[in-house]
Amino acid sequence: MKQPEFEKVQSKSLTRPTRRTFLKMTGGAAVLLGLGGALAVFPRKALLRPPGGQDEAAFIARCLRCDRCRSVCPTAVIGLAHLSDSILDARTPVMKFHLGYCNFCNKCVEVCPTQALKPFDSKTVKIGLATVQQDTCIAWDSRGCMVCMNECPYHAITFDDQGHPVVDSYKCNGCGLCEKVCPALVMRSYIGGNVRGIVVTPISRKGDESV
Amino acid sequence: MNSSRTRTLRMTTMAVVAITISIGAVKNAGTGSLSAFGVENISAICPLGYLETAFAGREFLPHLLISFLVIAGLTALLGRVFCGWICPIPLVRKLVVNKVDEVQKDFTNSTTNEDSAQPILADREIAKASCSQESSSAANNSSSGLVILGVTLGSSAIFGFPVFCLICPIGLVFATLFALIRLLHFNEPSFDLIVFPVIIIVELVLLKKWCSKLCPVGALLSLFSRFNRTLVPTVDRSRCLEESHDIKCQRCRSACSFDVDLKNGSGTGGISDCTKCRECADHCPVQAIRFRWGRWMK
Repeated sequence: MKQPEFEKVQSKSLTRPTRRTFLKMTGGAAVLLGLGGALAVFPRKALLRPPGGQDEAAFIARCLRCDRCRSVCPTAVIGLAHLSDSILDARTPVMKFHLGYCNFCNKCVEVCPTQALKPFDSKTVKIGLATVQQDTCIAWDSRGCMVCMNECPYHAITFDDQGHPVVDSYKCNGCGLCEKVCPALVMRSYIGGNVRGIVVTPISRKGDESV
Repeated sequence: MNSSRTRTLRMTTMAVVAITISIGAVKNAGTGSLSAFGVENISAICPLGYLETAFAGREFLPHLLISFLVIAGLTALLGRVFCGWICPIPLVRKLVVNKVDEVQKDFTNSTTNEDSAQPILADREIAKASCSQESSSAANNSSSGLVILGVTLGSSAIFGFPVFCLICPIGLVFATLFALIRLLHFNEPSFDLIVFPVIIIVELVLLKKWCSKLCPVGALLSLFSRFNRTLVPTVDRSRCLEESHDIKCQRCRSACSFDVDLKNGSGTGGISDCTKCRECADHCPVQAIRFRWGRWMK
């Protein structure tokens, strides 16, 4: 089997790859095109990107999954998406607010080599919107807890007559400090490390931000 | 032996690169990976990644062109040293199948008189031959890589994201390391830790000739290494057994991962495929192969 191949090589007139290489080559090309096509139409759920990465189409076109933004983040809020999020999103940076919060220090934008994270205006940028989870929030269950309101640096959380937290969607920029400090996990003994009474959720780009 | 020394040195530099990147990731230094490695806002970006994002985002990204040109220039100056000394793939192959390089066919028993009757080119003529041969040799080893390179860029442009990055074994090696770091640091288990190594193994074990025939990063670098004129392996014909003793010897060619035939250029690999791994020089029984800094230097 190898002998004829070798003779072809020896003849020096080899201008085409061997059949096996040709098969691998077309196979590789088919894999790339198939993968790209499948992932382009595969539905993905919205993820919380670091600030400046909110234009998802532009973000996913440029992100090389190089790990620089995750690595440089001083509050360790940037984590990595997994294959379970979607094959296309695996290894891309996502905000993990149970680990940290965003202080908009701009370091991730500075180190991003491809501008997948674009320079942002700190007055208008919104990573997401804090959303009270009525079934886990301590204030909804038994009044009294005001940790999120006290911690919010933007005074975006107020309490209504029933003692339930309300988020002002104009003031909230999704920094995630409320989610990080929410004591629901500890005080209500949930299993799993990231159950919170208030969670930052992605803002659907077409949807109205005022809710 | 000498051969194992260069090889150990290569494995060491690859390991040092991988360990440096891992330390950067553990220490949160923001250094990144081989996709983009750097400090602050300066980074050396993967040249293929740069082209992919430029095609996918339909934007030229001029600030990255400098990094791209520097890498192109270094490859033109030194050849594909990235493939032989920096890229972690040979090290991974060593760890997985205990073979450093892609094994070529064994030529020792396929000798013909005809072949030895062919005039063996002089040192200088090898350069000319390899240059003139490039058009045809491009259709040999690197042609399939160039096709994959074209499909890589085309798919990025069509689908709007860097498709090849998802399965790039270099990226996946570091992705595995980072997933491991996340697991240990944040107790964040995921399937990624199983799936990424499986993809790497499929690419390297099932597709044995990944580096020489399929890798689009190598194919891109080989476009620049065509201009490479330093550290080119040259055969000292007065020493070579084939020339001086009329003994058939194909050890340099069979040691070469890319099937470069230094003596008469009949291999499927062109001289621009050379990754400066020095396997040929180390396998030569009479030390007839030299990697000189300048071809025209005495």
